[in-house]
Amino acid sequence: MSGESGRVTAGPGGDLFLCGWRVRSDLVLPELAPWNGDEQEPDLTIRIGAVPARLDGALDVSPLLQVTSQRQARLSIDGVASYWLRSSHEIVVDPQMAADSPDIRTFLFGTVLGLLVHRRGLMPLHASCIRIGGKGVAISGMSGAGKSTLAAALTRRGHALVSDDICVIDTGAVGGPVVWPAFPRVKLWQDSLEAMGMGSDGLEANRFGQRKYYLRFAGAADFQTAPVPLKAVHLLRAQNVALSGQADIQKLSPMAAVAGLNDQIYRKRTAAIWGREGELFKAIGQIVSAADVYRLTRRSDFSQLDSLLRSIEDDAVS
Amino acid sequence: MSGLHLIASYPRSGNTWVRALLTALMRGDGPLDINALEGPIASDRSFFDNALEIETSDLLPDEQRRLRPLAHRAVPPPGKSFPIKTHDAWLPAPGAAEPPFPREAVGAVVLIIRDPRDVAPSFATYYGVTLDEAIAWMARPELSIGNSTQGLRPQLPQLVSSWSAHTASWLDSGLNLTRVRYEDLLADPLPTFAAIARAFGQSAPADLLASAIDASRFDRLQAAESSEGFRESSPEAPNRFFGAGTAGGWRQRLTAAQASRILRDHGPMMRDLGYDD
Repeated sequence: MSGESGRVTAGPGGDLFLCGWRVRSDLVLPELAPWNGDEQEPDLTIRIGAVPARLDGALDVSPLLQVTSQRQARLSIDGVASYWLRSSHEIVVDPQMAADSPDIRTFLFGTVLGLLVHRRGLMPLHASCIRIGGKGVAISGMSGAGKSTLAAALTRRGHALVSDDICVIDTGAVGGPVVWPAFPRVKLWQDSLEAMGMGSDGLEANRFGQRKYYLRFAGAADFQTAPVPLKAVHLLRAQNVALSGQADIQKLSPMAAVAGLNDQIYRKRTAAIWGREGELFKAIGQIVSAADVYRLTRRSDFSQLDSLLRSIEDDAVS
Repeated sequence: MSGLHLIASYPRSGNTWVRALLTALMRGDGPLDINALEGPIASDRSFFDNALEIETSDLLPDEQRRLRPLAHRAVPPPGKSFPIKTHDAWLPAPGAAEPPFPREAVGAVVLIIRDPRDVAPSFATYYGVTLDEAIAWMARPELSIGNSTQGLRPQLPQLVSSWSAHTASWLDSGLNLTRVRYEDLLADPLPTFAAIARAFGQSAPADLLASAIDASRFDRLQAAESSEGFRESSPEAPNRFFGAGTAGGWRQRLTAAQASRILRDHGPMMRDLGYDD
């Protein structure tokens, strides 16, 4: 632990990998792969320390979130932790529970990561991403649409997880948009685990007392860290019943794709306050011109899951 | 008229029917697409995720209930928007300090009330429970829907409470409220619907109101649901959302014991509303 000096030394496992960044962390982050890249200074330091109650010149985006025009942010979850995105290289976390509790990482790898991605000029799409045939397939949609469940089901068919819930896209990469791998973990509710024939025994809960769990795949050390070209985005929605004349998978026109992707920008209100709308609009244009965008409708009860998975696979390699 | 416009009702009391009427009125002539009804749902998770800049699925139930009214303060209501559907009671839910909408943000409420003896059979079908269970649920002050326990629901938890407590909470709220009985909307649709439209600042000539009423007739809604499907129908009763839309059907559906149990549970409020025959 860093103590008062604010200096963070590499943990016993060394530095870590997240979205292409070298991460040095006071917090134990068991989801992350080890850093195997160049001997460089860390891109991101996660420090345990005091977080001011109020950031200078802060605007309250919500009762939980303050942001400043200098693109700092403070998220506070009572009883869990406060988080201070201080710069594009530094996050300060002030835990209010044991520092190794998964609850703390739930928000670190949620809103805080999303805001960091904005701060670093990339595009965070509300999506999980899978590597199929060397290409990135993003499954996007609001909470409850079934992103993580589909992603987990695809990993069970031999594909590798690239990211869960936040899909970090660099649209300016040479050769077209790429997805930066995050870590090999999805969050699944009890019913989704059961639908896949798994139980929750031994899994860490997303929040204490909540029946939503962390499901980690293989060893973090085997995680492939190279960026993946984005091939397809599926805009997913869940529906209780089948509607006549509605296809399960429907390729969208460019205009519908732009609107659909815009809806799924992660932490959009803060991004707008930070003046990113123009950049993000351009990024969406680059995604739509390089990748196929589909509307994917699933049954709420995950019936017909296998045929949906096969369609996703077929579209990924077409 | 500024502020949130709410269509408040107990579940299975005609809320979606009123949304259909208002949608038809807004769209003008022609058949109604039941899968494109206007209007947000008050407890829609995506609204709160967006307003709070957090996944509410990562919040515990008490946290979600506490933050619901606060989210409306974070995102002020748009100047003019379609009325919002809500089944919440006007009560602070467990963990919350106030009812689910900030009082100062509410512009107009239309409260739809239906004879609980007709609510019960529809409630049983929609939630996939027996009539006796439905009747027991409707008497529970702590009744809540939309709870995510084993899996994630698309709505935040809503404290609905018992039929009596729900109805009383709105009637006693002191909000700018228009009370509408489902039975009056059925029996005398034109003036009743006109009052609803007026409450939301959407006065319209009688011919437009009449064509909206015609487009939203229950036989048409039912026919559309059985031919196309209805995305708002429940997993427990797929594509059986719209019932016969009648008043007094309970006389055939309930046993004498069930009817008197409801009268015992809700008698005072039923008598106040004229449901005492």
